[in-house]
Amino acid sequence: MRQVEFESYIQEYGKDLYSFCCSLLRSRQEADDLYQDTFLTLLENGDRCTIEKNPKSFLMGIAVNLYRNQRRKLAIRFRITGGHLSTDEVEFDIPGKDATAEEQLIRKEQCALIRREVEKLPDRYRLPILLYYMEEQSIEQISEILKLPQGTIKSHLHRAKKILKKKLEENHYER
Amino acid sequence: MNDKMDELLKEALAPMDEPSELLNHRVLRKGKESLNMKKKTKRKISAAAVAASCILALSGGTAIAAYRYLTPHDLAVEQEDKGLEKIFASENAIEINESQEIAGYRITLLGIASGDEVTKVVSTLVSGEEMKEIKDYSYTMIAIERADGTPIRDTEEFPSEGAGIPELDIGFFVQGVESVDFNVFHNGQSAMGLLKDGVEYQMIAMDNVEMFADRDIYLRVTTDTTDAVEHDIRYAYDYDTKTGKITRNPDYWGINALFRLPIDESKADPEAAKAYLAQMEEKEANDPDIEKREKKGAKAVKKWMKKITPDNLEKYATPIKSSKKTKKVDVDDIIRFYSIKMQYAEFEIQIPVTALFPDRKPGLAQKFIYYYDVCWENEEDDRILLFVCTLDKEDTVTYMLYQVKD
Repeated sequence: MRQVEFESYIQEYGKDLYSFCCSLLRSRQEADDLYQDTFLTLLENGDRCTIEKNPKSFLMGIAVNLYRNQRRKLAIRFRITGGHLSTDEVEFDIPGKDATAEEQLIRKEQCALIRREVEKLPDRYRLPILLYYMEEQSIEQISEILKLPQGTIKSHLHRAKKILKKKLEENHYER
Repeated sequence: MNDKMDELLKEALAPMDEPSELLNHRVLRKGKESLNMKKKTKRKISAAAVAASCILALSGGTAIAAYRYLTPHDLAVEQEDKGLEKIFASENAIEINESQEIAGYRITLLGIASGDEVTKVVSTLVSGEEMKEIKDYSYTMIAIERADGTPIRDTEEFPSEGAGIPELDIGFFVQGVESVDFNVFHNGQSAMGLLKDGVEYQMIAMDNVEMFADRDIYLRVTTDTTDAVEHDIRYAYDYDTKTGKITRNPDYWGINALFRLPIDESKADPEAAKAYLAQMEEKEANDPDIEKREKKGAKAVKKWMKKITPDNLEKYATPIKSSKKTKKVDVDDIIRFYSIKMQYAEFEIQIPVTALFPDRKPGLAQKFIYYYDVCWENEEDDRILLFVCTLDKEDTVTYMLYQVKD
């Protein structure tokens, strides 16, 4: 891969990838590391033909693999040290909507609640939700990224949405 | 529920986080480095102390008891690599056995050979056990040990986070080439490491340097104390613009070994060398402005490195009291500070405790780590920072940043 191609990938997919990393990892430092490692792995191992087919999916696949590996290592480490995962909060800004001030406020609260609840989901639900809604990957692409059958992805998405809907209802937000 | 829920999910989860300019700059820089060298020859080693400068000599060097070490051929046999065995048994193989003691470590260049025998080199650097078949490279073998004789411990003994050893970065320099901070040959393809009897051995395979045999060729071994090795290289070595000679900077805070390689002059290939350098220069011409400023800044920094000592620190630099932090020295005798925030950048430092505190004597560090802090918005606001440590009797290190006065 040439320098110019590498730069164009950062330019084009940097924001999407970074948002994904921030959603996966609550500490900004960890998100930065995952973001960096994903691009460097792309550079090191990326086969041009595979990348060109669907660069974004390819990047997301790398990020998911690195994330999973890191989780495995962390699990071991935290067993040894009895430590806790970072709980650094990441601040979000909510995009504005054409609505009254009150509706906007409710919407903002709903979005914040969704993000908090997505964070709490187990990875088997969280990863498909983020890849589908945040990264706009198709079921087929998510199936390739996560190496799970499409039926499983659909099922996990459905279940995740049910969990989130329940949380909204519990907090008196009917959907 | 689906339409509304889908809409809400899309809105709530829309990508909103943007990587900072600094982060992208770091990724680009590391990517560029990776492209230049394909695979860096980095391997962690443990370490200690600053100080004892060494004399660079082609033959003889510091007298050492070479029998204590494995030979390159031994290492090839040990690793069951027939290709390497053949290369190091051939006429091309040169045994050197020259040692340099720096920062509490003894670095010994054991030998070098070039050849096109296909050889397997186990890279323990990137993915742990990646096996590569390579050929037509220059293979260099070095040994690293603690100067005080304490054996280097296997990092497997330290399962906790942060345990390990400082990183060394290895590359070639060529006389008369300042391009890319005179770091022309940083093209380590792979490396093989072996820890035996408390000595760390590294076999590094890099692009064949014989094309430059009509000039001085150097092998450098440098600590990578910050997260960008270029930063260390700029400060660790001096380049003489008149003669093109490269020397160690005695004021540098870490390991900066430099060996001149005895390569047969008849093997030079000026045409190939010219083409290789043209390629490097083209890459360098496309450097972002900020990197050019960092390089320029490094020259200014070196002047201060000679001037500022623990005794006159307060005269030339102002402490930034809010930057003060304290940490225990890690189990492997390394000082590690992560996320050191400056006005315009953020970086991390890993350095052997004895590099800054010879004999681990409490008090102010004998050497300072310098950083040229680039202001993204305004070049006039660039500044020189010093990373100043003090050690107490409980092995706790406190650091504070100092800004050099205008």
